[in-house]
Amino acid sequence: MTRCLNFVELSLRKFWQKLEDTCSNDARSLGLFRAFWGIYILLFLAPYSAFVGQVPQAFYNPPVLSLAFLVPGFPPHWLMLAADLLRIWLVVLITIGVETRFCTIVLCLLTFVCSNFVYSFGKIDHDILLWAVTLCLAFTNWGVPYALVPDRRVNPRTAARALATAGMLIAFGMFTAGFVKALLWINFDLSTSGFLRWFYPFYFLLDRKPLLAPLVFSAPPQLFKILDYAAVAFELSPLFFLVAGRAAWRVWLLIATCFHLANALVLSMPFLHHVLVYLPFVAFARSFGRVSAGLTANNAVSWWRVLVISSAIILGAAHTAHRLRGDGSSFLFVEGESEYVSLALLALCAAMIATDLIREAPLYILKKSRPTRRFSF
Amino acid sequence: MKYPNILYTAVLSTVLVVPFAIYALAPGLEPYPALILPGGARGINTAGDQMELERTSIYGRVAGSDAWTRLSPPKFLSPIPTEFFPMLVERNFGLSPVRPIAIRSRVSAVITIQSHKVGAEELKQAKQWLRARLQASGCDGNALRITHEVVTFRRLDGVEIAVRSENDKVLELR
Repeated sequence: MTRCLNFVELSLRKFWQKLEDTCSNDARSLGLFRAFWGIYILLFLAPYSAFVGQVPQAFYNPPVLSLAFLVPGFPPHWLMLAADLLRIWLVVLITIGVETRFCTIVLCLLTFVCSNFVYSFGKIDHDILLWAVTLCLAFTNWGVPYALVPDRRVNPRTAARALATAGMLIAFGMFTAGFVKALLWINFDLSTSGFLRWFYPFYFLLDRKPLLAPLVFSAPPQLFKILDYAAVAFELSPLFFLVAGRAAWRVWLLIATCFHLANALVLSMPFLHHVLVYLPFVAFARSFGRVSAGLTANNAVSWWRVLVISSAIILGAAHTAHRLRGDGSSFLFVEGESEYVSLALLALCAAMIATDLIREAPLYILKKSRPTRRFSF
Repeated sequence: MKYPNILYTAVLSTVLVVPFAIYALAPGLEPYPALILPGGARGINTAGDQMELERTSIYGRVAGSDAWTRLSPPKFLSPIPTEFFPMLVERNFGLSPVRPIAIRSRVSAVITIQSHKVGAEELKQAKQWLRARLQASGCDGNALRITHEVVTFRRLDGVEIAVRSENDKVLELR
């Protein structure tokens, strides 16, 4: 029994080590990403759940297996408003780097609770991956560089494991989507299409007119069967890319971003916020030439940090004023999402990943020629 | 700790796999929070020049007339996001009598759960909310029509050829 357990432990250690090598990123890159993450959230995904306190309690229909099912109805408006304001200012604190680890954990847990009430109209929206990955980032050093009040550094192994877990969450999340699609879409019936099941209702019933929609009409419907297979293969594949190594994982991230970009162009369904799920694996510091900067340079005052800090505070104050006036929205202070903003952000994400892949290519080649690590108890 | 990786993997697997297994067996029991991404629906038939799509519409009676006018769900529901519209309509905006929730699983078992009770005061509040929304849309506040429609489209250019009403009902809001 002990030998068996030792064998399993050793195998899992190798597996996790592989994932840690694949997913690891330097603290400076994570610090730069944190600033991007914060401004992005404040601009495009600002916490907004106070409206559930203003709708009739008769609408309350929470998921059976959730915390909200234990509560008799939607919480009062003042409580949800307070939670929104707290979350907004937690995002501001994370962006400028004050007690980032603590703020990130509280923000994610609070978001799970608030979202539970938002999803108590009978439907759960599947945006959880972003917050699950963000929760993992709390256990990295993303709150150490470029921070006003830096966090205490965590053990590099803990940070690497946290990022490996984030990678694993992405792979599992994609698997859950791909598994259901595989059951429904993988068949040899050329007269059915899963892709067109999305396209037609969006186009005709919801009046979503994506930029490349005319291409869909000019292509024979049977051609879209290939897209069904491709979507399933893409969603079931990330674990293989994770295990295959750093270059392969970044290639998958690039494919994923292009996949979302194509969905935005053809279906008007961009999954925009996955930008924040993929970019923690990108070495921003290398792209901005900050890899060689000394540790003391991390928290030195610079023009871009002043800009980030002032923008975060202004956006936080604007959201607060907006919420206190009784209004609210998540996206740029307006209802709905802009197609062009989604396309621009996804294109930026793809460019960042591609740049990272190209810049790191010589390192991948060097790594390949290095002997692999050995483990012993 | 002697087996940290076994323990870590076991805990992570439980947190990820158990909720997904519940969802895979009985989608109606989908837990929250759970790491599950949207899968999609069964494929649509692509044969032929025409296709039928289903939609649910809401109508208000034009004030001072007997004519019904179709209401835009995003405007009517705002600030409730439109994606919740089908579920709200399915429950008649909470106005129909509350029955236990029967959740059918993929293994033929039916799980019955008592849903939240809607009291007289909550019912009154819901009717008031709906009346205010109808009046803001320029309609008579006393009735809301919900129609399940099957729309036939020409596939090539999306021209609406026919609309067939199924399961037409009128909610009295007095």
